[in-house]
Amino acid sequence: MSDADTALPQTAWQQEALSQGLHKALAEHADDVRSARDAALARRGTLNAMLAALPEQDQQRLAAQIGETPWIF
Amino acid sequence: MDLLNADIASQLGSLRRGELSPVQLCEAWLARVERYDPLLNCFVHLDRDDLLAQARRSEARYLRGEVLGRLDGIPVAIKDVIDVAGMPTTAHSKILLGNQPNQDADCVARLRAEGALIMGKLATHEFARGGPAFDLPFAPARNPWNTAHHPGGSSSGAGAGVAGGLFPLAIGTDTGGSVRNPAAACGVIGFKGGYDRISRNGVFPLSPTLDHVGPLARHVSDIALAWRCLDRQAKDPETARPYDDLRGMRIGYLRDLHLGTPKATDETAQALDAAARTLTDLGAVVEEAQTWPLPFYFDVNRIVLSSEAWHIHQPWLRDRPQDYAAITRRGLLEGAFYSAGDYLEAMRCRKLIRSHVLDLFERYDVLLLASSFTPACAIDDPHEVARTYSQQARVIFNLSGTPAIGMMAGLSKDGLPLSLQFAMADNREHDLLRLAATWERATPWHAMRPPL
Repeated sequence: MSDADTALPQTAWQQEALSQGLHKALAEHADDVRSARDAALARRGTLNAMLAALPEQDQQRLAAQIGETPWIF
Repeated sequence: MDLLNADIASQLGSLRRGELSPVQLCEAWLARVERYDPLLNCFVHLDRDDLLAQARRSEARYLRGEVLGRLDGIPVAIKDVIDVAGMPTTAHSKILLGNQPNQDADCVARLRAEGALIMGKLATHEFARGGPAFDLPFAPARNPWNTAHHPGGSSSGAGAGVAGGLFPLAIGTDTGGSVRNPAAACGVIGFKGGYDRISRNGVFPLSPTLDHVGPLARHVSDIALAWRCLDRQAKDPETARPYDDLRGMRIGYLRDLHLGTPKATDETAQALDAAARTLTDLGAVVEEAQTWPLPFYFDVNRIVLSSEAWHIHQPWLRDRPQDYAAITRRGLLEGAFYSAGDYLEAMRCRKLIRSHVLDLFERYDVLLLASSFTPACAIDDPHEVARTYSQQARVIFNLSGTPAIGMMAGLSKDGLPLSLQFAMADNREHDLLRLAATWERATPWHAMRPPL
């Protein structure tokens, strides 16, 4: 177990990384792990904001897809 | 040898007429490699003896009058995520050092069946995901227009080598634009057909629902020939004759896409407006068409790509994170932080995007749009590389799975290529190549060569 694994309290991003089994990456490349987690968080945020800003017609088309298979081709 | 500037059909003509042999042709290409590859770093694996042995077998076929196929005696180079029997597939990574497949990828097997000579393996961004990196077993490829600049990626060696005249044809892969990006940066042609039209069997995956295999070349005729050889449906002609004019063609110009945020450089925007005028002069009806801002496409692409890439790389990211380049590690780790719900939400957006693109193709035969918003940036500036990657309009057609081609559209004041894209609906690859041939004939760009 690495220091990062056992150190308390763990921050949310560290907990997320450990839940994905990234013990070694967290111990040796913590900056990269945090940067990747921040990028994912930011991208989810901007995508949600863009979805909220879609025209009503597109929102309806998107809503209609709930429950459909995600495969597109 | 001027023949090296000519298209593949001209080279084949010389071989068939006996004006030169496949060995002589191969040696001429190898001389270019030996002279310029030390500057460009295109190859990560090149076996000169094996290549010449292939050329001798081709020569024997010509002498016997038993030419094998459409590419007999023509050297083709392969991105190093695509398996070639007897050559290493490293994906430009420490992780796969020592990996030597004993079977060709389907696309390579198709090329061999046509008589192509497989030259070697080409530099890529690590696993087609990172960026230019200096902490890998191989140096990154460099742009022949200015070796201090990025050649684009991830099919970096393919774009740089075709532009530099090291080989006439290369095969790359395109998940978020990785065939069309080096084509844009290096001033050559990069093409992807519809999703799954070229087999991905034997290609190391990055994001299987987005991955496309595609050719890069300097001539549209070479792209058309390669497409005929590689396309699993094999239904299109092997030549793409330019249209006499474009009367009756409806072209939707996605101008707002590069004038929003992010915004293209003035030079790029001017080149695209000039392209719209040229197409109008050829008889097309060019109208401005509307679409969503580029970041919407980019974020959807990145969530899908990162999630699928994480699924592939998670064992190595857990056990051997130190063996990736830092830029790749950060990029791949992003996928660890998306949930199944995030992935499904992105796929739902993707269905909306495909519907939208198909709607556009109801109104327009062709879409004209930017490829890269900027000329190639400096290769050793990671912040600029990261910034410019989000300023590329290619991801749209990986998400929609529809055909697209990237071509040169001008030259910046700094002497670097400017670029555009044309896109068409499913199953219109041949029409798209004919339009590309028309653009090639109408403009001077394709004849320009980097000042090596």
